[in-house]
Amino acid sequence: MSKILIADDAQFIRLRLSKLLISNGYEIVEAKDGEEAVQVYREIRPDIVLMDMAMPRKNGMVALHEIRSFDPQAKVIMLTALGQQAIILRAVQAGAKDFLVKPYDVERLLKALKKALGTS
Amino acid sequence: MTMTQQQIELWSKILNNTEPGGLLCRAVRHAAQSLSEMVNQPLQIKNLKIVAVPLNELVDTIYDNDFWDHSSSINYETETVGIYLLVGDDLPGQAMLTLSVNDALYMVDWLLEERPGTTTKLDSLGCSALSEMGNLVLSSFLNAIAEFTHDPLRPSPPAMMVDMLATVLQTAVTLIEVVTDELIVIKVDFINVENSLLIHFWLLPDPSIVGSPQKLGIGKSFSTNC
Repeated sequence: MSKILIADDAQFIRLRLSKLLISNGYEIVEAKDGEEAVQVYREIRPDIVLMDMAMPRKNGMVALHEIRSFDPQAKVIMLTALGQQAIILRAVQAGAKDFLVKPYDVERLLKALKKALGTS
Repeated sequence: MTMTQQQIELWSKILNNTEPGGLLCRAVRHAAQSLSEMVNQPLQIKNLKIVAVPLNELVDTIYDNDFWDHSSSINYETETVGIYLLVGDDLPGQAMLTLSVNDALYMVDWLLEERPGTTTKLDSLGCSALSEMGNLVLSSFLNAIAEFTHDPLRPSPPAMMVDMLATVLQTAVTLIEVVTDELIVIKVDFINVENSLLIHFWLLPDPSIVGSPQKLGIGKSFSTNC
């Protein structure tokens, strides 16, 4: 079972994503800010990270950089309401595997996860 | 061009491109579309208005003239949820979503995919859902503006309060640095098809940057349909 780390400061988003992904056969771990996301990543090495951009303590971009420098193979998908070209470009340059804009389309999200996991 | 000039120019472009195909309407439609997808409900955009308001008479001015849709069930004493965010970068100002507590409870049910009427009080999960709604609406609005600027525009984390509408609005104003006598207020309503849900989306350009409404070419009041 693939393990997904959901890093988002919004309890509502963590709950909604968890419900969706558990019902699709994924195992879930959660982090409520960027710092916790980095820490959890180091401890459990999830298969994929779903990372919000705007988070307290460490934002998603900083967390992405830290995770990728610890594990250059880390698969991080950015999931944010900020779907702006300049922001997407920076995330992709920093090594994000994919970039999804909220409100996310369920099919598109599941497809992105399968693609990143190489199971599509 | 200095940062301040850039900021004034962007607000000016938004406030003076108010026709249906203009920048403001495009951004408002984008925000409404995202909210509609989030709650899985079609939403209509109504009453897009821009007004220059004396700073110390905000609530009276907004409520007492034709700026307010008096056919709606919301008045300035209605118990209201306000979701408040700041914008920095090239578009300094404040944004707010307001909706009656009753509508907020229904909104939480939609967001959590519960049967309408399930949520009877706002707990931490409900507040998180409403805050995320505020974040999403403003971010979507900014995404549309950023297509034009090509520079990132980011909102602050949302803050939420529950009080009478007048108090929620007044609180937003107390956070504004007083440098002019008047303030520009942009308001648009998002309404569902059954007319049972009404959300006001407010934008207040930062007067310490943009200066007086006249400087941006804003007269007393203006309304348009997107």
